[in-house]
Order: sequence, then C-alpha cells, then structure tokens
Amino acid sequence: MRLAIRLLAGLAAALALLPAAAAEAPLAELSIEELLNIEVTSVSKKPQRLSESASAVFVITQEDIRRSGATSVPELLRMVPGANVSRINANSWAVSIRGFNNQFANKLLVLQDGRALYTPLFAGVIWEVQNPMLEDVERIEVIRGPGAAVWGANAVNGVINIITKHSGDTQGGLAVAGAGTEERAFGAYRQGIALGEDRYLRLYAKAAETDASPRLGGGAGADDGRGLRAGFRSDQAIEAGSLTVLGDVYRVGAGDTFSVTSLAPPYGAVLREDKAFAGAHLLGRWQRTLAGGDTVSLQGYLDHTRMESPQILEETRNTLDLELQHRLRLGTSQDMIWGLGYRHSRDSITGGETYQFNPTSARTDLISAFLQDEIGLVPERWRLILGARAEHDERTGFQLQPNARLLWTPETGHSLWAAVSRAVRTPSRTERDARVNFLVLPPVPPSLPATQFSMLGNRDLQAEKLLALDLGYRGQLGPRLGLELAAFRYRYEDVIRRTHGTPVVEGAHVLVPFVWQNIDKGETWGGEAALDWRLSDTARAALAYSYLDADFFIGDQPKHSASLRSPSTSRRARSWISGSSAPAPSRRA
Amino acid sequence: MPLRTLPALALGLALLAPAAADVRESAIHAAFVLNFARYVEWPAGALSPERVLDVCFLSAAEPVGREIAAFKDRPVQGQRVEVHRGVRVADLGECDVVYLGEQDEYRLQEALRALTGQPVLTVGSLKGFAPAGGMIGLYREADRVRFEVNLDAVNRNGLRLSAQLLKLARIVHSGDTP
Repeated sequence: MRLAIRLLAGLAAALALLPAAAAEAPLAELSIEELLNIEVTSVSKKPQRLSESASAVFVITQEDIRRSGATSVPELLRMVPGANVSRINANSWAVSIRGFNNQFANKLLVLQDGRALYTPLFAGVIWEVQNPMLEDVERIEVIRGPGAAVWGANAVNGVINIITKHSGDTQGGLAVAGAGTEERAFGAYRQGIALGEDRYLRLYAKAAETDASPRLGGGAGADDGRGLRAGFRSDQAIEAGSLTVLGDVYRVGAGDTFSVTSLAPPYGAVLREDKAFAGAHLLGRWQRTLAGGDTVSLQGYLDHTRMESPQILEETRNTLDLELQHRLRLGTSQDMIWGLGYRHSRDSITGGETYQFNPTSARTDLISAFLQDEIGLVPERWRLILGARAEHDERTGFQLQPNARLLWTPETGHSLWAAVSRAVRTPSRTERDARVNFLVLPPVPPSLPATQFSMLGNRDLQAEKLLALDLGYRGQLGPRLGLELAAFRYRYEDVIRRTHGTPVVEGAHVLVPFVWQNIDKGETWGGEAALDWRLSDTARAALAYSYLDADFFIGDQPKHSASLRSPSTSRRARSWISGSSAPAPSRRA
Repeated sequence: MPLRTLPALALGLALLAPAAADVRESAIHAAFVLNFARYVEWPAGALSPERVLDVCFLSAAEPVGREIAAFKDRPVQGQRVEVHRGVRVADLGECDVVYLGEQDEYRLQEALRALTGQPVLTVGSLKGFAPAGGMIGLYREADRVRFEVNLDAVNRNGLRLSAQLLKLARIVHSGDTP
C-alpha cells in the first residue's frame, strides 16, 4: 500500500505544478455590449445539480433544519420520503432507506464532509455519536438507491451526505441553548473568525444531555445520554483553488443494557452499563481549478474512534483515508469524473465472556478506482451516465460496481430517468470474526450439561449483492407545484442471515451454534411520491407517500407511510403530521 | 491492478492543462454585476448617504465575490463599492446589490423571500433564477454570457432599470419555465 500512497503523493505534486487558470483580462473597462461579446474559455465545473440528476434525491436545507425544530440528524431524516427512521429509545435510533431497518442497519452509507461515518464493526452507523452542530450544517443530501459506482461499497440502498457550511458563511458568534423534560439540556457555541482576505476559521463546542425514559414498572430506563464535542473548520482560498481543514473531538456516553452469559452460575444476567464513545478526526481537502476549468481535488483524513463498555466490549479503531478526484470535460458533450482511493483501517477489540473476537486486531486496506462519464446525447434532452467503481481488499477480494443511467427531458420542467446498478455490502467485522454467546441454559443434574447458544462469525462470507432497477419522474406541474415520483425493484443475492448449525460437545458443555451465511435472496419493490406545493410566498405544504414491499424478510418497517409537512415560513404556524401502517421496528436481539 | 495505470493517468492529466490565459466565467459575471449597477435607479434614500454601494455575496466561497475585488476600485454612480462576502440571509436587506451563485442553490428561495419588497438589485447565475423571482439572471449561450430580466421583480421592489440595459436583455416573467 505504500506504493499507492507514494503514487498519490507524486500525482498531487505533479498537479500542484500545473499552470493554474490565471491572467486578469481588463474586463473592468468593458461595457455591457462588449461583455456580451466576450468568449468564455473557462467554466468551472459544477457538481451535477441534484435537482437535475438521474436519481431519487431529497435535500434537507438549512432552512428546513431551522424550521423543523429537530435536535438530531435522525430526527431530520424523518422528513425524507423513502427513509425509515425509528427512535428505539431516548438515545438510539434505527435509520435505513427502503427497508432493512434496525439499530444495526447495514445497507446505507453515511458521510459527513467526505468522511465515512460507517463503522466496519457492524457495517452501520452509531447514531448516538453522530451529532454535528445543526446550525452549521448547510444541507443534508439523501440519495435513495445504490450510489456505489461513485461512493463505493455499502452505498447499497442509499447515501446520506451531511455537508457543513463553509467557514466564511459562519462569521461571528452564535449561541444555542435549550432545556426540556426529555432533552434535559443542550447548548452550543460557535465563533467564526476572518483570518485574512480569504481565510476563515470556525470553532465550536456543543454539549447535550438526554433524560432516561421512564420504565413501565417504575424507575428510569437505561437510555440516558450525554455528549460533549468540539471542533473547527478552516477554509482558505489558495491560488486557483481552496484548502479546507476540519476536525472534531468528542466524548459521548449512552446508557444501555446487555444480556451477558457465562458457563458458570449465574449463567445469564442483564447488565446495565454505559457505553462510552470517544474519538477525534482531522480532514484536509485541497481543490484546484486547472486551466480550461477542470478541477482536481485531493482529500485525506485520519479518524480515531474508541468504544468502551468495560464488561462487554472495547473497540479502538484508526482509519486513514486518501482520495483523489479529477473532473474534466471531454469535447463539448462529455463530463467525466474519475478518482482513486485508499483506505486503511486497523482495529483492536477486547471482548468478554459474551462477546469474543478472533483475531482481536485486524486491518483492512481498501484500494478503489472509479470513473463516471456523463454524455449529452441530445443537448438539453437526453443524457447518459455510465460509471463503475472497482474495489479491492484482501478479505472480500475484488468488487466491481457499475451503473448506467439515462435521463430524458422531453420538455423543460419535466424529466424522466431510469437506472440499472449493481452494489455490494461487504461483511462486517462482527459477521466475520465474532463469537457471541447469547444464551446459556444451566445444567440439569445429573445427566444434562450446560448448553451454550452462540452466534459464530464466518470468515468465508462473501459480499451481499444488489442488482437494482430505479425509475423516476421529476416535474414542475405549475409555478408553485412540484412533483417527484420514484419507483424501484431491487434483487438481493447472498444476503447474510443467521443459520442453525449442529450441536456439538465443547469441553464440558454443549454448544448450539448459529452461523452467519450468505444464504438468503429476494426482491423488494416500491416507490415514493412527493408533492411540494408553495401555497404562497410564506406557506408551503409537502405531501409524501412511500410504499415498500418484499418477498423475503427485510425488517419491520411499514409498508405504507405518509406524511404532510407544512413548514410555514411565517414562524407563526407549523405543522407536521405523519403516519404509517405498521409499528416501529424492534431492536435486534 | 488499477495501480499500474496511475503514472499514465498522471501524465495524461498534466497534458490536459494548456497554459493559455483563460477568460473565466466568474470574472465576466463580476464585471457584469458592477456594470448592471450603473444602469439601476434605486428609490430615493435607498442608497446609503455615505456614498457606499454595498455588494453582497451569501457565500464566502463564491468565486464571483473573489473576482469582483479586482474591479471594485472604479466607483459606480459616484458611490464607492464595498464587497461583503458570507453575508447572513437576515442581513441581505442591508445590501444594495446581492449576487446569488451556484453555491446558493439551497438558500435561493429563502434569500429571495428575505428580499421581497426591498430595494436591492438581485443578480444570479443559477438556472431559472429570474423566473424564480430574481431580477437579473446570467446564463450562457454557446460561449457567451447573456442575461435575462424579470421586470415584475424589479418593479415590485421599487427599482428601475434603464431602457438601454433592457434592450440587451431577454425579458422573462415570474413562474416561466426556465
């Protein structure tokens, strides 16, 4: 892997030496008539506008965030059609897109400012920890459907991108404070500083405490939470480009209960113990506009996370991630983006009698390359997007994740799109290397020994595969009425499920093994409809409906769900009604 | 292995970048913004008595905001130009000219609402900016920059644009499909 790093560094150095877009034309002297005749030779590449992309996209803007009253990211995600969001208890959430929802939902990729929030431990997101200062979030993009060709493995059912504001847009001080009976107390302070002509810095700190829920039988539940985090972001313009550096440190505590087992009396107990999370990360992104308007960016981050539940499990993980992207125009009708990536992740896990990991320390080196080409077949009417990502790591081998998308705009304001994609979800560390002794039946003297039920990891697991068909329509039905429709049919293969093994005698007890295996397959289908009606300059109504069905087990989320949101901008009235046909998912055993 | 192709890609990349001086779209937009301001009549008392013309950008990262620094030494209608970048939506009403660019896609509606009825010239480059309620929208036709004017928006906010400017513009209305 050292080779990869050296090559990336060399490439970056070569790019830095390229002549930048430069030279001031005496434009200031020109009249409007003359300006109209100037030929533009450099148009900076804009990322594809999501509102014109060939995929199902929902964007939560800063205004939506402010008007929602939400205090966490999962709470905000409730407004997204097709997203399954359930609050399990006061401190934990289950979030997924288009099914498979539970606390350890594993088919969704979540990023914040280009950093993956996904933990390889269980291939999901620990939402208790992901709590940015919402006032500094610029937007949250939610892409339903596979995004693997660009984003990589695990972007199976969707991608969530949390994007924070440029530090130049958060100048000055901002204090937030609140208190309540459940969200007991929360507060945050941010200070933005202009360091120079084009250099800005933002510092922030945030603290929150959540009360435990009352238990049915009286007393307090083990779902209280508290968190403290601080961080910074700096942005500066450098010649023909920009440099962004950001970082965070945090400490989060969350109450929880665990079932623990032992082969000696008492054999089983429910333990109440806090999970303590701590971590820090540092990210740098350098972007440069080349002559002609092409752009190059190089990003790297270091991420350190630690989870501690002394009697259950302790995990320490360090990640290094490097990514290079180059966006260029080919001819007049092609817009291409390609990139290379390298991610190194090393962990160290200490278990107890209930949770055991073998090996206790593991590393993965993931190398990836992707290419996406957007071809204008007929200007303003037909666009074809072809892309693929190749990834390799030692444990799961080589994965190819291609997609093809077609966008048709029969007339301005109306577009139809279709996409076929393949995506994979790589097995988590737990599914591969963990042994969870989840139940022990005490011995029955004189003849029956103790019986231990265990979930065993499987090192031969393959990635889960998805072949997806997505369709959509996006239209402006009137000056104030917008409609979005999306439909999908997904075929999953090699889905990892728990299987029964044959009981064996292990020492002085009987072991009833359960093993993770790639044995399931099935299809899901459904769609979402979202109507956005601007009633007046200040009032808006957003009506959404989602449907989801499957021919195999995909969790407990509702089949039908609907919501009506009226984020009035007059600040006087706001309403939000939502309903669904089935109960929230239960926590997985 | 994709690794082996890396040096070739790096070389290709280096060759892709010609050294010729560029005419950047953002620089042209900056020149347009100040030129437009020469053809606008603000209602009496709208411009600050200190003879300062406040040109504002919502996003500090907006390249047009960076470019305009090169032009701001020339006074506009006898007013000294002052550039403000990273202005909060709530403060946009204090400006005389507001430019909204690609970075502002998700704040556009909010910004335009905040400026409803205010004597502030709005210039933007997002597709459909003028039909969405902006005053002057810049767009590209082949390799030239053009502009369209939403007269309803201009009039509603008490500004007047000179006939000379309107002659060069494409006129659009609120709610037109972009």
